[in-house]
Amino acid sequence: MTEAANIDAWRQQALRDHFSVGDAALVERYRQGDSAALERLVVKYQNRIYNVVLKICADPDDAAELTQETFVKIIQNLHKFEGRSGFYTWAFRIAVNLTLNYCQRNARLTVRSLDAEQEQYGSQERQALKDYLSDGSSPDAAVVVQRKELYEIATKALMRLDEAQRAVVILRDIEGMSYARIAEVLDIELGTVRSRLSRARSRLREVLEAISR
Amino acid sequence: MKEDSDMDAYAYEGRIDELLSGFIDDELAARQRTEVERLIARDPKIERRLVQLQKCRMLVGSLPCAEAPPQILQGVKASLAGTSAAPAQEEPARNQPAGRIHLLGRRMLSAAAMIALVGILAGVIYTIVAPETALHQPQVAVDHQPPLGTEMLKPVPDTSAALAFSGRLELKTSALAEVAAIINRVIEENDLSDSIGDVREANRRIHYLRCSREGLNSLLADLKGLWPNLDSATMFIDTELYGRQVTVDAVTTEQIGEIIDQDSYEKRIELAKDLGVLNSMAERMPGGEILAAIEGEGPSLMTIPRPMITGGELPNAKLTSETQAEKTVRLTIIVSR
Repeated sequence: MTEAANIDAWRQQALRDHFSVGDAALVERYRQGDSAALERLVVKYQNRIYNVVLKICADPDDAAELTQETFVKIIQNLHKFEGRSGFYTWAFRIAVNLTLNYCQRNARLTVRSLDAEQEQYGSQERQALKDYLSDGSSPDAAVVVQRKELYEIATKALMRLDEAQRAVVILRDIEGMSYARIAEVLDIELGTVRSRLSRARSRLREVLEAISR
Repeated sequence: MKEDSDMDAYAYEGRIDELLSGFIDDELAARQRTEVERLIARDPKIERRLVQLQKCRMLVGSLPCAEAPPQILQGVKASLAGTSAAPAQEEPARNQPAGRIHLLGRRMLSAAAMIALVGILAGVIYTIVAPETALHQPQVAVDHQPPLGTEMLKPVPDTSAALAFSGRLELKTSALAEVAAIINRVIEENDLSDSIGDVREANRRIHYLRCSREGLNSLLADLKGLWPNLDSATMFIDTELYGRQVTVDAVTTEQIGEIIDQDSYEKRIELAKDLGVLNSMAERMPGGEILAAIEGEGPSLMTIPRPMITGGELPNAKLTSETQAEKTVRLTIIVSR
């Protein structure tokens, strides 16, 4: 084998190793002392965890701090991780628990009425929301993406839900978890996931409709 | 009676919403799904409710994904370094490679203090012992090795027992002539003259070094006393895996040895990245390294570097091992003002 071929084979193997290793293997490698494996887990999940935490707590600085705290906690407790659930589920359980505890400790007492919420938005934004909701056709993702004015309203509407409802909506609609996975992450019954998600969506619909009036 | 019927209606609506919610998430059993499809087909109000729930879901689901700030990983490392959060295992953490990384961070901080203190002492000793001769050392024989091409910068595949290393060490100093002379002297002392080529320019000296790990470690040990005379020391580690070099600023001789001694490319790169972060942290924490040293972390405080030999015969004890050992390290040392 020529030197160039050797380099190529080594590079390909290194890239295969780099991208194909699963969470369980990375956890095991960390336990055997490979700190690089842990860094890969952090890099792999930091955006997703940050995004979920941010959507629950709504403050970028708090979300960054909570994400960092989540990973520190993960690393400190990795020896206790038994692998009964996947690393992904376990990591999100820690992140969501930390965030919900944080939100409860720092609950804002200024709960605005829906009327006050409505006054926040200009007539153009309210009209856009009204058009979106009253249109009888099936929802189209492309339409939603184009109407960026709806994002702020949706973010604020999410904050009208209590934390537990918000978490379940975010895990399902943003993180795309199955009901079973949400039940594992939040450590609740599957039936509770169904009912909590349904109530959360109904509430969200009411809030959006109130804003659009 | 009316209250009961209101509650029934409320419970019914709740039940419908739950079914609709499960329907749009595709989380219903086949029988429930059929039931919902039948309800939607028969009742336009339920159909409208379904569309609205779908719209709410889509609106939330299309919210832009936020990216984590880039400093998360560094923050995690800093937190762990601060709390020495190595995984609790039966073996002592210092015997675990993962624990070693965390301990390494603390050691690096104290090592910086060691080197600063030792360097002052070394500087004093050096000016007493070798003020004249060092400036007039004969230059190491130049073998006119051409500047390294790109193939020189590529790591050699791991076909031998010793892992190849390729990199560059850039040293900046206001005392260029003195520092270059010391490097030449140390290279001679370590009998690496045959392994190098060097280039002399007005404002810089370039040493192309090809030697074994042992040879380099020995060289680094002797160069340790030089560090306090440097304005900066930056290591660039060549890597194919990441398609670029990994840079470690404020690198110490111990760190260079540690990086080169890793037994896989991946570990080497990861360690280099860790050290890069730790060194930049240490630079931002004036006095922190001194505190760590006082607290007793890291190597012995009073490690005096080996005095420079200023004349007479050069030791040649390393000759045999160096010539026999595999020359897997390719290091370019650039000293400039």
